[in-house]
Amino acid sequence: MNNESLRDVYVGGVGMIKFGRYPEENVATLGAQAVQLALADGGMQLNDIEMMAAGCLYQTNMIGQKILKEMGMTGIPVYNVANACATGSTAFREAYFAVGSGAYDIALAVGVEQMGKRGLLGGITGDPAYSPEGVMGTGTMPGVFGMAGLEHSRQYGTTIEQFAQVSVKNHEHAMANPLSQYQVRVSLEDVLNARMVAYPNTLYMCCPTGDGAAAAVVMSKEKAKQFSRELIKVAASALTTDPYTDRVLTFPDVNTMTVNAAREAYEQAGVSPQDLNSVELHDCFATAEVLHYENLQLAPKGEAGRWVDEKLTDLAGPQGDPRWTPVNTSGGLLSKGHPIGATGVANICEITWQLRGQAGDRQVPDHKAGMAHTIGLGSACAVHILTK
Amino acid sequence: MTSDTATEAKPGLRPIVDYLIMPNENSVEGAYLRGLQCKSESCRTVFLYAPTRRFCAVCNGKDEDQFSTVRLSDEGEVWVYTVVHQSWPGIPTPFVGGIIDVGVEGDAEAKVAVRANIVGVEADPKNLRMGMKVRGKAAVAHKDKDGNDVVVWHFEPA
Ligand SMILES: [Zn+2]
Repeated sequence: MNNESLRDVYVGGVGMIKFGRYPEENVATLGAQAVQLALADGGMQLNDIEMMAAGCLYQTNMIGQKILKEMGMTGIPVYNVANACATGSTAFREAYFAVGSGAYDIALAVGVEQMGKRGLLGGITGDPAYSPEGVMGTGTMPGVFGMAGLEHSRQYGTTIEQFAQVSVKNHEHAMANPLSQYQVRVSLEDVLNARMVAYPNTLYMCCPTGDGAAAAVVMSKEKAKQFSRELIKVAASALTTDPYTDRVLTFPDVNTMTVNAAREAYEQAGVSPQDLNSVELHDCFATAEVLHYENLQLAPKGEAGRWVDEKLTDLAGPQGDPRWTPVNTSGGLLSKGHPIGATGVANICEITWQLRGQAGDRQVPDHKAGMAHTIGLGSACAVHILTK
Repeated sequence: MTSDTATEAKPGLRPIVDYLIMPNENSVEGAYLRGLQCKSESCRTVFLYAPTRRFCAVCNGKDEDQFSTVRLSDEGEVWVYTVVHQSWPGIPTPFVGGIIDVGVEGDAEAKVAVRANIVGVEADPKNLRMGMKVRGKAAVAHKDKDGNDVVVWHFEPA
């Protein structure tokens, strides 16, 4: 995609509720809370919003309108978006286009999900007696991402300990994020000895299910100057699906669409991987994060395992090393949580806070550029780059 | 899954996927996997058989007669695997799920990936190896609620 014909778009306000479990709430009341946080953060009113894109995967039906019925029915156009785990990112991208096209000056993206203790995802619909799940392999997410990790082991010798270390790191990062669903410090032994879900992913290497909501307001430069304390630019917005690759119709390819989206995002932004100060990437499973170091060009092909060993993506890693790029400072999906529709927008919140220097004890010093990445199987991959 | 109530089909053997073909009505003997191979010379991609596939997902081939029906080899090689310890209610664990590359009879170049269980070994990574040779066969897995014997295709170490 060529974004040169679009005008520049800026993040004007962000907000998210603490991810967790809210059985007494519903998707509209959760979403409305996040929207109010983003409006307050940007110093604006609901009346200032001209267009809204709402993402929710499991209760898609008119979710944006339901949110407005909770907080203010202003009559604006609303788009409802579902795009697997890239749902929130896709809503953000629609808001980006609404402003980038010049049609609107201020647009709102909100992502929300209420999953409760939903447990496993994927592999089955209905009665297992009629499903190939469990008798002809597996399509459950832990299984698919377990196999994707072993594919990397097969090619490059990546070890189970290296995958597990990602979980240790992201749980540690979350200790500094009060909005994280879990704030639990875990050791490598804890992760390796936890209950096996699907080899090599143990319980701590699988993201939790939960409830959550996040919102972001985007706007033109003029409006951003009017409302915002600091100009945070959406420098790139890329969205891809699977191209045909070997085995993809049988075994989801979690790599190629990420490679393609990242390449396009770097081109759009005119930014190189070395310029990124932090990355929020889609660590739905610990194995996935390792693969994406290479897919997003943070590490050379085959060296993701070494990146783990040298703590090059760890907030507590070697700051002076030019290869150091902290990944998932928020705690990532593994600890912060993954209420599906909210995830992509929550990533935008984290990068925005990092750019503004508002990330508290998890702040990356001198933060000038960050990336937010989500993928959903089936397939959709979104990559955004924010700069100041 | 849905039986025609007008004819009241008797319970029998029911393959769990469309690409598992059973020439014998009363036995798994002779069962095999079927593929569809794109006839476009520059493509030749093999898909797992689906009676409704009309177009080639690789080259966009859309001829009336785009695909040859091909028989897939019983022999395969494990590309990747996982050992599943947690699944949906009603699905026994642990089991070994794999992605198996199989060949195509009559085309030495072609391959297609099959998702299947690997059986005949204890469900432990120490018994499994990516690249290991396996042999596929049909077997009855369980009964469904209509009284059918559900037939699956799985692989054993060769
Ligand atoms: Zn073709």
